[in-house]
Amino acid sequence: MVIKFIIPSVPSEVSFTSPLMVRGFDDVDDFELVNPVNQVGLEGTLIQSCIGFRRIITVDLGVVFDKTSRVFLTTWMLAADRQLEYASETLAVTPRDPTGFSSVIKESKYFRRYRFEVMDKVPLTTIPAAWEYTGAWYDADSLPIFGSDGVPIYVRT
Amino acid sequence: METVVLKCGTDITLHACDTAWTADAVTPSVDTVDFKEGTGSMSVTTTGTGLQCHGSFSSIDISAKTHIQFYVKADSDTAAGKFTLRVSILTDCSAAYDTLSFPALTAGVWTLCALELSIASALTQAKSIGLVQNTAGDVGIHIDSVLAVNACSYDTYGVKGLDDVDGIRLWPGVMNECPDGERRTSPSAYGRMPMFTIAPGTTKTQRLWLVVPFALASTKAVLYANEEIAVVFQDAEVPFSSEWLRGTPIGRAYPMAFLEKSVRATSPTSWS
Repeated sequence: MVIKFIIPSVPSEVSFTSPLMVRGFDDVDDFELVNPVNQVGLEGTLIQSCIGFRRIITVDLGVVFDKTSRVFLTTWMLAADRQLEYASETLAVTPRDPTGFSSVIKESKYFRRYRFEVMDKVPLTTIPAAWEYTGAWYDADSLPIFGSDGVPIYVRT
Repeated sequence: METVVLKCGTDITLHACDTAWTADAVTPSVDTVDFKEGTGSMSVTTTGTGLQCHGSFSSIDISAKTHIQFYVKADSDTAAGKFTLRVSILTDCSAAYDTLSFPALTAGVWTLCALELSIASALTQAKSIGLVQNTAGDVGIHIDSVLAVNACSYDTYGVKGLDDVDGIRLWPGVMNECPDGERRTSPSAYGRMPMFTIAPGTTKTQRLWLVVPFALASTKAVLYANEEIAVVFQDAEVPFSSEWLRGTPIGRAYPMAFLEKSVRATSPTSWS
């Protein structure tokens, strides 16, 4: 499934047609509670509350061969507002690590692999649209998987 | 596989069973000696088949709830489906709006049931609940504390920390060091630390329910081994994540770790 990196203020965008993994976007994988508060009563009772949650989304683009796309990723990270489009949802995101990102190079500098961790920019209190999406097919690591939750089709390479 | 039921939000009491239900095939009574909550339980000896007795109440909107929760005890072993709980929008419970089938019951054991409503969203005016016997064979039945709750059931690989001694949180968990170097602790109570992994095979609805409403709710409970335990997450910031089995999103497991919300000085009944 295509994942699109969008800079809405320009606007400009780059699509990646076969990411190795998109985790946390279209189903319940990783998330964090926003402003979690832990209180302990005098008698030892625990009280916990929060104001919402943020998805933690991991996008593994695999090796990005096109230099223009690689440069765009930097522009995307520099933009004040960034969006991802996937599983029928366009989502404003913020990087989990605001200090930067690096490629993963194995054995050759000609094959640069990129993996991003981002979060919902705005806390959620209801189920996001992409979590309701059930028509997705997946690429997961090196084992492509097609189909859906109900009818998975494994293709071993 | 072991099943746990997770529950969150505020329960709606349909019938506390501290007052008598109304007779249909048989006349029920209030047992003020053998009960689970409040001051009594509904007690009846069934006969024949059909509606045995019912409890009515002022019209209640339970359309936002998913399950009916109650305690039940039979004086002999009964098969699953021998009884159903009727939920009705009629005060006399003469027609069913939803019927919830009882699980198999063990003689003399209070069983905590959380039975899923099939048409919850339409139940904006529930007015009565009734006990229906579906197969012949008279049985003494107790029912207590009938609630409408928001819950979801999950299969797990096994549950730690609830029905046996696993991890505990001591209260107060402090240590004093005396001037001579002696260290003293004096905890007066403890809470359990329930842990389990939700097995792969969950539906999308079950997965979404884990976050909205469960993770966001300030009131949460685990129903397991005929016990309801109020809990909070061990990690309040990142309460849980999925594990992709074999690296694929098709098989998601969810390791869950909780703390018992309150503390106790005596062993819970499920340890005995």
